[in-house]
Amino acid sequence: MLKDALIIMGKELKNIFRDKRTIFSTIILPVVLFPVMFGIIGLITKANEEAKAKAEYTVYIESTLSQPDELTKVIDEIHKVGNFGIVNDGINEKAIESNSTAVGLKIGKNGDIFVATVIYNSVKEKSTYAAQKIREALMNLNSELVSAELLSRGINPEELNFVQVNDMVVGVSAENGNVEEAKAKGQFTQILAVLVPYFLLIYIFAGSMGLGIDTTAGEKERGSLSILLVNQVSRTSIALGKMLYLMLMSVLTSVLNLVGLVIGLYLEMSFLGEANMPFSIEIGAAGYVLLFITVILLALLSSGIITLIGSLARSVKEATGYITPIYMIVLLFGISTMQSEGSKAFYYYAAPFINIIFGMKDIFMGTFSVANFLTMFIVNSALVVLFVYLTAKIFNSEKVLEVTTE
Amino acid sequence: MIRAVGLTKKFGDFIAVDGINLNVNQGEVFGFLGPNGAGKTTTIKMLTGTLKPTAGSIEILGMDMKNYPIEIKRRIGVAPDEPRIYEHLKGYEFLEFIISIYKLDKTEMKVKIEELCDAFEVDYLDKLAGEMSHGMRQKLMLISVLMRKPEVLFMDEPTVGLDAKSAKILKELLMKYAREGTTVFMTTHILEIAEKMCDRIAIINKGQIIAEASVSELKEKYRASLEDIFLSLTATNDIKDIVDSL
Ligand SMILES: Nc1ncnc2c1ncn2[C@@H]1O[C@H](COP(=O)(O)OP(=O)(O)O)[C@@H](O)[C@H]1O
Ligand SMILES: [Mg+2]
Repeated sequence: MLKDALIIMGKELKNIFRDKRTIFSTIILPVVLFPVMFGIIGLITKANEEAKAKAEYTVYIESTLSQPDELTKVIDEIHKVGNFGIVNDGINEKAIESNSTAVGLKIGKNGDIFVATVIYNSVKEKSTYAAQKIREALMNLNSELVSAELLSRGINPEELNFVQVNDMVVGVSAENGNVEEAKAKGQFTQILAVLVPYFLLIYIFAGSMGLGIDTTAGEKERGSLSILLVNQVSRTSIALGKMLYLMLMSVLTSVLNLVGLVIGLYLEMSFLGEANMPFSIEIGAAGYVLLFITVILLALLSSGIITLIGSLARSVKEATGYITPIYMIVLLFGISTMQSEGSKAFYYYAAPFINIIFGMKDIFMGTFSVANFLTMFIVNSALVVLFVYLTAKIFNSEKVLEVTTE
Repeated sequence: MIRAVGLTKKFGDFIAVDGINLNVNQGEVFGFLGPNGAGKTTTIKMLTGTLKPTAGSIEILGMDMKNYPIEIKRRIGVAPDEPRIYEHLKGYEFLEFIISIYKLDKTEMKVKIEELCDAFEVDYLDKLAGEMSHGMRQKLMLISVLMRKPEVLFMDEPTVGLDAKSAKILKELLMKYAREGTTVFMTTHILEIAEKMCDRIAIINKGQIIAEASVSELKEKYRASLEDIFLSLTATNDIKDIVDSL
């Protein structure tokens, strides 16, 4: 029986790989999807940052400072933080509004305290960036003045702290206390935990949907199912063969998707440099194995339910009609859980599809628990077995036969 | 070889096949003759295990269809009315698929395939089925059935769509196989074929068998050409009189 199922699976594979569209959507697209996506994000981010840092800015200064060396100090600090040209003859509001690289600075003194106003165009990214840099320069000036003042009173500013706070980031491995880097990694990991499960869910489900409907309802419609029915194969073998074929394709697609994900992350890193943008998922080898298992469960679950429904339907149209609502619900699960964190109550892991999303989130966020993972594994495996059983039952009943209307 | 008792198929309230009895002997070419929509294809689908009968029993090669569907399918060959072959398989890949399903000997089959390809002038086995014409696919389907040399052959309108030469070759082949002991059950709405090839024919109309005899018996009975008999039998009027007189 299994041997016949494998022969049928082989036939389906041969049949499908003749179709160039299928090769594209099941082999090529999954591999390039994430790299292209991450690559574009990386390129744009990098280009943007570089453009902003390299650009020449103009600061229009309106100063009411009486001592000339005070203004010189301010200007020195501004030169330290970026590529600024100084125009010291008042604020040119028109220029600031129309020129994206221009900002204004009104500076004066109220007693001993510098009072500054930064004027910028908040709609323009570069103007906003320049204003940010001016603020940075002024804060640097502030720190210098504070230090000088303290020193003049005989206090070492280094000794002035009464509370010391250190960051410790959990869930993401920080390399030798490099907290800032770990924070950045944490942020990206969060993005991964949100996006990757969502993409995989959509991609794998939608992929199985096309192929699954074609091999069940589509074959009924084209009448080629009758070739199998009149020949020496049991209907259980036919059901099993089709199920195996779809599962294999789905698993193949998802594995390639994961490979694409890893390539994408490397691309990201090479664009932005590991130190600047440490876009990596540090989930370790065990994490990858768990991710792999979860993705395969997703592939099996999707292809299982699609083969089952496709076999029940009398035509491609009918099958699409049945499966689309399920796809919508799965999409909805994905969207509604996008923002929520990992590690939820037990029943989240007992619900198919939802449990896969949270299972993946847990792996990315380090909130993995053996009990939850096992629940997810058992629930989904049991469902897959049930789907296989029901599909075999349908193939053995009249349901699958009375469709070939000539 | 082929035995059906009270064979019935209902689609909802519509009775497509209405309690027919069939008895075909070994080595016989049996013609199942009837106008369009008479129930020929439905009958053949039940006899070959694709459709489950609403009522009645089927026995092929002495085995009950209910209990031995796979064993029966292993020993029979079916050429459906429409040659529906997986579009993306090449001709030889389709044949290989059939060979692997039946676990046949590859070298032995290769010889048979070559013979049949020669006979039917098939030189396009490396073409995709999706790129073949209807007639080309039909010949491929026939080769996939005939290469196995099954003990019982079911052919649904086998000559429709074939060119004259291929049709003639098929006819000769089927008669040769029958002489060698193969049982042939074929449907047709073409009288000439039934008349020339078949040892015995049954005429089906509206799901019921209205006449069954050898061609010569029928001709003798009515003293008319088979065509006249067929037309008058299947005409809506005066059927009853003819049937009663049979
Ligand atoms: N799957 C089906 N559902 C409903 N009616 C059907 C189905 N298959 C065949 N029929 C009807 O049964 C009758 C016999 O059809 P068929 O056996 O194909 O005739 P034919 O003798 O031309 O081969 C026709 O009226 C046809 O419309
Ligand atoms: Mg027909």
